[in-house]
Formats: sequence, structure tokens, C-alpha cells
Amino acid sequence: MTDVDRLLGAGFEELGREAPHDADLAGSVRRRGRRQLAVLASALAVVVLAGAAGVAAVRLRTPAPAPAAAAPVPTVALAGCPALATGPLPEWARTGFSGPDPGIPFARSRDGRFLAIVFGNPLSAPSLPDRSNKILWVLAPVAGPTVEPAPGQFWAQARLEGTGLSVRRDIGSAPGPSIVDLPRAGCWQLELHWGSYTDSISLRYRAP
Amino acid sequence: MEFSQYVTARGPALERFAYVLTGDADLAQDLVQTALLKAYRRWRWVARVEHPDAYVRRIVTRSYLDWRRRRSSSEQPVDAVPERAGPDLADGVADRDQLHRALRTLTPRQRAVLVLRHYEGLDDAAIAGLLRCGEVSVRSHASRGAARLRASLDPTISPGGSR
Repeated sequence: MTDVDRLLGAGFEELGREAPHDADLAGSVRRRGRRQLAVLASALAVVVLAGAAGVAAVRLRTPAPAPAAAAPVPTVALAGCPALATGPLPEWARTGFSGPDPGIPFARSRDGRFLAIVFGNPLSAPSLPDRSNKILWVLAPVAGPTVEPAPGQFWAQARLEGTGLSVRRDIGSAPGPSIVDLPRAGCWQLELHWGSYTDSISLRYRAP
Repeated sequence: MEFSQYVTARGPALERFAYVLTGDADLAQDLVQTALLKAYRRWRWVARVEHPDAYVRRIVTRSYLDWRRRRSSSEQPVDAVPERAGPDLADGVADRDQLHRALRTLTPRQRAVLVLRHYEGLDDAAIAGLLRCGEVSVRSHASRGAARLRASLDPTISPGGSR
């Protein structure tokens, strides 16, 4: 055994201990599968509708309408949109991390109820094929008795600043690992809802 | 074994393997999820026919190599470098970041071979099967990777093997 062999044995073990851990990995996999199926179903629906429209157009023998001019896409400034924070995570958000400062940027919600730890930094709209918009949501400890909402109720209403665009995203059954894809780049305000807990958070999504 | 039971039992080990292989937290999680989703969709077959670990590890490794191939065609492998005697690097490398930086100088295949050999404990035949190459190629990647690491960790050694 060479010195490099010995070094690698120990070095890989040490590196492995720094690996990120998804406490709900099976759930993440299932949600990813459901999302892929939803995208596939949407694509199929578009194809079917396009095909049906094509057949109808041929039957009616009507001239094709002139293509509508593409709707202008407003340029959305990111200036003024809060940047992600770096540095040590709050102590209550360190579960699963090997140290206080894992080097992953994060954002706090307005009232400090939620922390969004952004693994997919920078967030991108549309999402990139090789890096997902992964966000780990952590709920801050709440004083007094807490009532956890029923599963399937952690969601966000996302509004793109400077536009009227608003979309709903069902994030998961509870704060935890998630993929949050949004349709356009810009400064998004997410109104977070988990049962009786509500808060808002700003997230930047960049164009690829 | 149910899929959830398998992920609960083996998920952390798969996450560690993917992270050691890629050195990138996001990519590692993405690859693990991708591989597990493939396994999930044919779980009855995977659990019955094949060892799930081997199946998932193979997908993670090949997906990583495919990803790196798409991302970059700029690999510049060094010429064959003979193993040589020298100071024991394991005694001298106190800074783990130094090792991490050195690992990033490896080509994807060199890193994959070294991880599969030294972290997963696979023999050359198993690595060759997983990477769909010959055992000679495995040994070549391992040798060149080790030489490149040695050169990166000890700047007094050139990639060509001379001081």
C-alpha cells in the first residue's frame, strides 16, 4: 500500500462525513417522481391539444392567423431584492449539518419564522438541467404549544415583483427539503403558509 | 424490503458515496435522488434481481461521469506517471482542504476509480464492470490519478514524476 493509498482511505472517509443529509430522502425522491410525471402529463396535454387544433384548422380550411407578437417580457431588476445571507446558520437550523457554517447561503422570512437554506444557489428560472432549485425550509422554534398542521399544507403564493404574475407552489407536507421552480427570473415574494403559520420571504431567481 | 426501508437504511451511505465522488453537495444530492428515483420506478425488479446498492451506485457513478462529460471537454490528462518512492504524504498533509483541492485536479474517471477502489472497496474487476471498461484501463486510471494527486500534494514532484 502506497502513501497515496493510505491518504485516500482516510481522506475519503473524512470527506464522506461532510456529505449533506436529506432527512426525508425517500419523500424527496417520490416528490421528484410526481413532479416529473406532472411535467410529462402537461407536455402530453400540450401535444394532444396542438394536434387537435391542427386537425380542426385543416377541417375548417381557414387561413392560419398571423402569429401574435410575442408578449414583451419585462426586465425585472434584482437591485433592491434582498441577497442571501452567508455565515453561520442559526443554532436551531443546524440539524443535519456538520458545523455551524456549512457555507450554504440562506434567507430569513420577514418575521423570522422560516429559514430558507438555498442549496441550489443561485436560484434559476427556468431551472437548470444540472442544478435544481433546492431549498431546505426550516421552521424556527415557536414559543408555547405548537399545533402542527395536517400533511400537505406547506405551500407558498409567489408573486413576481413589478408584475402581476402570481403562482402557487405546493412545497410539501411540512417545512423540509424541496424544489421550488418559478416561471420567470426576478425578485419573488413568497407568502408562506403552513397551517396557522404564515410569513413572507424574498428570493432572487436569476436567468440562466 | 420496501423502498422506504431501503432508503432509510442505506440513504446516508449513498449520500456519502455521491459526495465523495463529486465533491459537490448539490450535485451529490441530485445524483442520489436521480438514481433512487430510477430504482423506485422498478423497485420490485431491483430488489429481487439485483443488489440495490450496486444498482444505485452504478447509476450515481455513470450519471456523474455523463454530467462531467457534458459540462466539460477540457480534461487534460497527464502522461503516464510511474509510482515512485518519496515522503509519506499521509504524514504530511494536515490540511484537508489541500486534499480536496488535489482531488479536483483528477479527471472524472480517475476520481471515480479511486473512490470506488479506496472508499467503496471494490476490486478492479468490479470497477471495470461498473465503468464498462477493461481492468487494464482501471489500473491505468488509478495509477495516473494517484500520480496526479502526489504531484498536487507535493509541489516538489512534477506531474512527470521528477523533482
